[in-house]
Amino acid sequence: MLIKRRVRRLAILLISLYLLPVGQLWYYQVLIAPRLNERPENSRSHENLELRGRLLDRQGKVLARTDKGRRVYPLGAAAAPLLGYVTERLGSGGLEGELARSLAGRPRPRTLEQVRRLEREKSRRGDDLVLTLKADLQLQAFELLGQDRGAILVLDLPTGDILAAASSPGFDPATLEKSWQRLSQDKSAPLIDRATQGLYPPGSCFKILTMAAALESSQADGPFFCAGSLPVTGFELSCDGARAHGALTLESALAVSCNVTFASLGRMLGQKGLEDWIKSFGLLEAPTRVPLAAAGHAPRGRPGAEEVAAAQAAIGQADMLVSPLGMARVAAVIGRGGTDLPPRLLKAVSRDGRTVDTYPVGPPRQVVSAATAATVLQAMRAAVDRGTGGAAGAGVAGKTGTAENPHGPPHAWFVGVAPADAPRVAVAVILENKGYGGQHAAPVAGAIARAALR
Amino acid sequence: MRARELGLLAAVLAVVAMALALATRSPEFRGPPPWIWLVVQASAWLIASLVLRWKKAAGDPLLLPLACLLSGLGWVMVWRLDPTLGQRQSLWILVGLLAFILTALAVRDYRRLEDYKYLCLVCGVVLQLAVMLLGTEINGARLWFRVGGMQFQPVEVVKILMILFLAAFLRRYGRWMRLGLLSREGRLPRRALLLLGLGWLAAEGVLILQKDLGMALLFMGIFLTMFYMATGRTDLVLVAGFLFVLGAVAGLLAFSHVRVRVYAWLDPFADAQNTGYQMSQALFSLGWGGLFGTGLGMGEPNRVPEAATDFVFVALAEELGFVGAVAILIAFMLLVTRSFRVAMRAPDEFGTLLAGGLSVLIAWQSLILIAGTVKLIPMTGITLPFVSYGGSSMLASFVILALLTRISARREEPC
Repeated sequence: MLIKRRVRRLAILLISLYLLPVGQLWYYQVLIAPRLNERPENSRSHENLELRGRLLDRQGKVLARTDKGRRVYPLGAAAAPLLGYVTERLGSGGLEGELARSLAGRPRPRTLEQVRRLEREKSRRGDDLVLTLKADLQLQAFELLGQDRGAILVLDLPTGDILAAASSPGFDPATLEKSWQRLSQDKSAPLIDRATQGLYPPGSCFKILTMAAALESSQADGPFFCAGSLPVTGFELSCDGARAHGALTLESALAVSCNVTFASLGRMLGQKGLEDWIKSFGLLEAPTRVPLAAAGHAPRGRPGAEEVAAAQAAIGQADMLVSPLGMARVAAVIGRGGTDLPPRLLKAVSRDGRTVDTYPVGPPRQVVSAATAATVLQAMRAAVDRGTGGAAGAGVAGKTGTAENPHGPPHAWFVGVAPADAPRVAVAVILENKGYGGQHAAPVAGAIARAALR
Repeated sequence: MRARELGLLAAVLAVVAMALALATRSPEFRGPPPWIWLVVQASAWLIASLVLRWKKAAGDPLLLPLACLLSGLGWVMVWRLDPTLGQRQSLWILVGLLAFILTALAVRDYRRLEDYKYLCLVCGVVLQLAVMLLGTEINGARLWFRVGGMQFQPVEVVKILMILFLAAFLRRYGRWMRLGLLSREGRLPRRALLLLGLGWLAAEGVLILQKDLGMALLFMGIFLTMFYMATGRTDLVLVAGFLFVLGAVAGLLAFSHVRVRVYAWLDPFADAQNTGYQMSQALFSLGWGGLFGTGLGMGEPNRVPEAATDFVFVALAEELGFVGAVAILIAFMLLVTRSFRVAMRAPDEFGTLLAGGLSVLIAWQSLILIAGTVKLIPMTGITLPFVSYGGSSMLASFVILALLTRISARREEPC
């Protein structure tokens, strides 16, 4: 009968379909099972929270520890976006997730053989990780951000250490499980650490880099003249309020943040030339000793519009994006006399109170000449002493930024070093959609720089 | 033949007893071990087998032991996950077995069922409409009736009624469709076509309106497969399948709840704590089990939401490993093979279509669910026959088993 032939055909088809889940099971249960077990969201892999290692600051103050089966964070919201979390239901995130391999205590036994081994050996605590942060500075930085959305990053110049990386809004790690639904959907992204992972247009702060690049390429012979605006292939760039600055030296151009001067420097350097400099300042790579840090994006000029892109990028606009960590790194190069050190957040690993491993400082790398760095630093001092950055206060050298962006009012930036005559720290401050950098970010940057020097 | 069935049942029950012994030895096992329930269950299975033999209704000797293996392992897992659900599941299995015996006794001659095809259609449509209008709303969908403290999912009955109707309808009119719907001889009686269309609209429409996408997919699969079985019109089936894919894409674009599920399927880790939570937990569960599993009672399958219903297969795969999961797949393959064999050996066309339809139901339902839990297709909330926790679905599975047994018995006692 025909119908039975079709039944047979269907039977063969449907029964062979059962082979598909077999393949899929093989993939998940055998081939990639080890990788699944290690994923940070997987709360099965680090159940033994009691044995999980601690996170410590550079002076040994506790940033995260386990108490009665719960993870405790003494700094609370002030360090939450950076440190992350570990909970039974949510697994882990932030540094807690990224460093799980070192922090995790002995995994819970899974097979009979492991149970036997566990009985033979005594249980082992996970390693403690020492971070380069300074707990009290971190707290101060977070308090300075207040109700604003934004970030503060402080670098130690001799080592490249991150002393503070504050991000606002934060969240309360103690009540994370209850507030997860709200936090994870919050448009202001409280779970992201803006200081190392946030990417923003750098605005006029970027002129520090443009100036150094121009000096190195010997294309910065002044004097310059600002007529208030500059036409670039069918596009017009203008200074704030289209006000003409008139005749300027390069130093005073930085001090008053003249867009016309720097845009014309950018045009001379060209898009390719500028991109090479962005790269050599280390902005396009993710620093390896800062877990989770985001790499910046170079400006991408459309073919035929490279000139516009170069002119806009030179004043920190266009489609270039940089993190506060990246901008602090640029200021640090100037403050160190032209030398770059890779930023560092992990300092050492310690086990049972003994240091078992340290993350090295450096290696140093000369990015621009000492003479160039000195000239730019002088101009940054002028910007604070008699230019746009006055609100930062005495003893600081730096540059303001007011970055246009598609999300509303401009971001307020300040990037600088302190003390101005022999810099020891670099700071970057951004306040999202807050307005003028000189008005809002500069005072915050001055306050945190002075706190860091204390 | 019966002796073989009894022997296999005894062997399978021994396996279930060992599984229970392992699960209850775990330090995480809560409450007293349900040995008494196992004894009651075992007796019920043996009684069911003996009653069939006594009433000369004995059929394929593998069907009952395979169902016993699947429901037994499922029961141990459900109990291990949640003793309260386990207790109820014990009851559902007993009620299911009772329904099995009663159905097998009531349906002396399955060919009589063919006369009730329109009654089946009307009952199915009425049930579907009733649940949409009068059902209890859970999670924004009306798919259940609540009586006392119990919930009942009428769609589980509707799916059997639909297969009965389709088998009878296609037996009668399949010939016309085989010739071609447009040719003069091929033109169907208008009334029959209208009935088919209305019934179909009620079944699919209600499911889609109530967002029961798994059932909608299952009904579609059964309908097309049975249509092919009866008519051999591959072209029409392909056209309908294509239209279904178009509909699915439209659904994807139009409904956010569909989109959420598809995204959670494509990349569960993109939103691992919200929409992708269940799927990523299921994958972690699979990975944790590995090749040989954690051992019964030694894993943590409770971390997967809905582990006892939608994700019971994953729970088993975690604790029994890849090896155990494949064993369960093989049990399903054998069950489906045997029920298709019943269809092949049925003495008449209605029997072939009915048994074929029921086989297709078991095959599609288990495939859709398992494929959903191992991330082959987006997850849909339907149950795994015999294994998942759930009264309505358990009852339906046993009624299907009874019908298959009855059809297979026909051949052995010629009339």
